[in-house]
Amino acid sequence: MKIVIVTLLFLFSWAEASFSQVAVIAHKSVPVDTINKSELLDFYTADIKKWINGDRVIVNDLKPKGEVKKIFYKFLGKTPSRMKSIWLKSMLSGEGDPPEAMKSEEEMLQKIAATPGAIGFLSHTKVNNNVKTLIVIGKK
Amino acid sequence: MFFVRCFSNQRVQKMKFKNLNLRTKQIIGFGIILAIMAGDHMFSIRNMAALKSELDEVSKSWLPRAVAISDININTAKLRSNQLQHVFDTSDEVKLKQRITMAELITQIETNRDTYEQLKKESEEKGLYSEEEGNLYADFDEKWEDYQDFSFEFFPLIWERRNREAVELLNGSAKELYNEFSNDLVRLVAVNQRDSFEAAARAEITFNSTYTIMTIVFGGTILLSIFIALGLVRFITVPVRQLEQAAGEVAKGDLEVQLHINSKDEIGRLARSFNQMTISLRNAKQKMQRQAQTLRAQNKQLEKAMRELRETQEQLLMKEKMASLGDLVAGVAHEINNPIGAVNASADVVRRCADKIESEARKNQQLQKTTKILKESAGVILTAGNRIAAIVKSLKNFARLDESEYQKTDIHEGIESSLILMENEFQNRISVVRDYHDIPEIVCYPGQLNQVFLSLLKNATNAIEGSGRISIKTTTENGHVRVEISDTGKGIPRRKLGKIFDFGFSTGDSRVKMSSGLSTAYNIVQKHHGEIKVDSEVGKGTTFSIVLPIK
Repeated sequence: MKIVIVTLLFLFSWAEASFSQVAVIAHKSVPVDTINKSELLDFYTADIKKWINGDRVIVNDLKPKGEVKKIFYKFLGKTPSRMKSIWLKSMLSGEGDPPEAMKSEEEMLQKIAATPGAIGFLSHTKVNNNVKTLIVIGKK
Repeated sequence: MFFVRCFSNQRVQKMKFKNLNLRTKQIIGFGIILAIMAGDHMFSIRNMAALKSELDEVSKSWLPRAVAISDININTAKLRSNQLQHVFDTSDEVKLKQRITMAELITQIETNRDTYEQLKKESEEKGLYSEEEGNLYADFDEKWEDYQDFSFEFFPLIWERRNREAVELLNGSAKELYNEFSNDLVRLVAVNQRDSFEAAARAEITFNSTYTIMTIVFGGTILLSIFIALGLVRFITVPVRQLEQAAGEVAKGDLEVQLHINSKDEIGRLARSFNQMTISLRNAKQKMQRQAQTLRAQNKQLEKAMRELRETQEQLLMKEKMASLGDLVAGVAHEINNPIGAVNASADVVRRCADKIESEARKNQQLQKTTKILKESAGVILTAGNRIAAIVKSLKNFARLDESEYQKTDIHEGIESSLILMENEFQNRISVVRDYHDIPEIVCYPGQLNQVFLSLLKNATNAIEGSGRISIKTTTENGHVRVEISDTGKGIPRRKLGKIFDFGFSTGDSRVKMSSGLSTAYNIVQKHHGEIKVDSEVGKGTTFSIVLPIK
């Protein structure tokens, strides 16, 4: 009986984890260890372009449409299309280019690990030690 | 509880509407009207609220959303058109302007989307946001996202002057995307339009039904108000007016008025009180009339008693006078008798002396003459003395006023006494004619009868102006004695004849103050159970007739 319960609980938490946890990751060099929603939003809307250490904030988007992207943008409070309108405006007014769209979560991981000041998001389960996890979204 | 009691059989009779008191009737009547009005208002308010919500649906939900979507459609179209145009923009200045324009368009689109999404949120809360619309918008969102991705590629191509590639890009999948999301937007507008029309249609139905029902209720209320007003009239105004009329009639004096209002409310009770009041009034009136009659009768009796009292007083006075007179006369008679005796005796002595002298004085003629005169004078003295004695006797006769002397009397004696007493008044102008028949003695109060004869003789004497005649006739008839005293005086007018025996009547001047003489005479005759009548002709004379019973 005990084994059954424990197994069920493990499976349940694992199931939860794999479907609802998105990690916001950043390059190890970024000067913060955690971030909140409004700061994150400011990065993505390019309202804040630089980290406190002066490094440029390099924001990354995920191209494939899916649960991860959905959870992340839901957390931000904007749909991807709304976000992209902001980026388009920025682009047209010359303020800046839209973030690069990673073709996959692995690519996201690679880029962030390699780019100082970079910040992005992916499924929590795919995070490795090469990057800093600033916040995990959807954890309960 | 009121209604439960109302419908139990025993109570139904008592609870009939007309027997409720006025306050209850009014409360019920007005209560019904108020209830209907309140119900009508609540109904119309409810319907108006429904109407408002339906109109709100249109104005705050469907239409604004349709407008927002339309704007998005227009702006995205403009953007795309600008994008295509941008390819052919040559100068940097123009390019810059275009970029600004396009940026502004994006801003507009964002605003439109904000508007729409706010409205969406509000509508979702009210349950006015359909799944269909949600799906359409989500699809637009996705495709617009993808189109923007293409745009991210497009603009750098332009700015690197890779125009052909740029155009190909925009006219490739991007074009499809554009058409698709544009279509979504069109359908979104259509959906909103449709829902808006539906809401408007519902509003119209609500309005029409409300209008109809309100009109019906309005009409019904008017009818009911008329009905209730008539009811009020019937239960209140009409009875009150009847009451007013009846009161007016009673005030005018008609006490037979009765009200026929049978309800058990205050009006009915008032009517019954009114009826009782008129009955009481009638009874009181009758009672008063009877009392008035009684009073009048009593009054008459009082008057009669008063008259009798006055007569009695007069009689009493007269009796006193008579009594004192009687005493006086008796006294005088007594006094006179003494000297009379002396006179008679002396006269007799004188005559005898004269006889003696005469027989001795036969030779002397002078002496014979003187003696003759002496004898004559003595005779005169004697006669006069006798006369005085007779008068005194008559007076004494006349003064016999004792009531206790009820006795058999010869009427003729009484008449003669009275005549003697009147001789002075008769003098030479009035002659007396006697027609005496055989009459028995009658039992009476002689003094009183003498008073009567004297009264009549006095009247006769007064009536005769200058010279005349008094006739006295006595007869017997049917156990009665009749005495008629007639005169040839001036007579009594016919109209005064009836009153002649009334107390206080006076024919005019009279030497002796006995104006009540005839009425006293009347009373005396009545007391003797007799009759006294008068007959007269003006200018010819008067006849008094007395009839007295013998026994």
